[in-house]
Amino acid sequence: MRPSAASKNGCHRVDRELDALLGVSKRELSSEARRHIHQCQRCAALYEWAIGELTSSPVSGDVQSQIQATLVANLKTVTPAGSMWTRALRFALVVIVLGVAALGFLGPNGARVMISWQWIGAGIALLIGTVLLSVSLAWQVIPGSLHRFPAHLAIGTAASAFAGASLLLFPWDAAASSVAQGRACLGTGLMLAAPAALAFLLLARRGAVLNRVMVGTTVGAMSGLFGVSVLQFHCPILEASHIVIWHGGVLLISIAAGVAIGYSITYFQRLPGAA
Amino acid sequence: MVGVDATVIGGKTELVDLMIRYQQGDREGIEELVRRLSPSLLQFFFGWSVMREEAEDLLQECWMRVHAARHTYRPSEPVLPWIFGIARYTRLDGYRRTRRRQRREVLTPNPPESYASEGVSEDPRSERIDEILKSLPESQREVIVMLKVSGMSLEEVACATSSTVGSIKQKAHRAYDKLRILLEGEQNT
Repeated sequence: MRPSAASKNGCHRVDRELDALLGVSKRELSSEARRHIHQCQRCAALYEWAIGELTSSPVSGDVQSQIQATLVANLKTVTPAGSMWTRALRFALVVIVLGVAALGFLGPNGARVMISWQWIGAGIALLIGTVLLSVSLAWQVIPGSLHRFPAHLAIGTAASAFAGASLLLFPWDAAASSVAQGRACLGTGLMLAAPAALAFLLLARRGAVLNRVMVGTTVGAMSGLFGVSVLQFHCPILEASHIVIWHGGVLLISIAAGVAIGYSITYFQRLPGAA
Repeated sequence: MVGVDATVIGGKTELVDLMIRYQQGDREGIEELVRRLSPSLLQFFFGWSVMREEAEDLLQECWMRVHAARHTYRPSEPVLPWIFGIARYTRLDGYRRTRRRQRREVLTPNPPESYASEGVSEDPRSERIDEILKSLPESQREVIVMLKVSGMSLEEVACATSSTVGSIKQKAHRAYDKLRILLEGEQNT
């Protein structure tokens, strides 16, 4: 039997009101909807399902006691970790401290030949990337954090900001640099990124690393961006293709390494018997 | 089966107090926390894992991870998204580990007892709900289980799943739509 138009309207009203109650502790329907529920089997079943709690599963006494005993045996006082912003600031501080040290050692040759707007533009682009990645990494190592933007968006924005700024701020003259110079920059950038990655990883491990692949990718991106940032102010070749290909290569290789390391760790930890 | 509502899981403020006591090394705090949260965590794992033994292994592993990460809990935040955020990855790791093991194993003539076959549910309505839940895609099922088993809000589920409130709402709506279609189908027949 086909439901009448009035009945259909009633069903739509119940659907709308139940939708509005999603995730809300108050679960009251309007009087019209309640009246309809008494007449419609479908809506009564839906309402019952929507307002009812799912049944939970009893845990056997043995399992519960075993868990409690294990936790109690290893019980120590712990100090709650800092807020997300404190963690993000620590990641950013690593970039600043290591960056200043690296530039002090290598020399800021690039910064000396840059004109002011190139300096400011490149600095802002790299700063945006560093802030986004630091915040994203901080969210990832605190379980239950509300991620205001996904990690892949932070990585994509950081890479795009760097590439966009390089193409806009520096002239394109592929003949201005050689492959040998490019390879030297790539090598230097990767050598800078490796210890930075280690520092970020050590800081990340002070939180709870749940999604190892995403944390690996973000750490890779952050360390790559660190290498890129130091190269930006160290390398005197201010030419777009050199910066995008060879400096950008540091970022790409670091991200790829982060993904590979994250996947490898996840793979081995998910091997049967590895729990 | 035990119906879980706010009184069983405990008020959210009470959970925060228990979690703070746990961080301070209070034995009773952690024992009470395990007692209150384990049934809903087990139900969460059971939504994907068929064998009871396996779900209980995941529960134990989850508590070990909670223990290792307890310093990352901040008293200003709700407990459930933090715990379920950890439980979610415990389940994902466990699920993939099981799949790998299954690929290497051969079927036995006497398989171990499944959770569903243990007669834990005598209520046909709850069996039907379980059936419907299992027919949902993984991401929608995860959201519905969190919303309905633990009584979390949309924002809390978004925190636990590292997602946005909009995306959680969309998944829950899709799950409800599927349920509507199933109920309409049943009514027509």
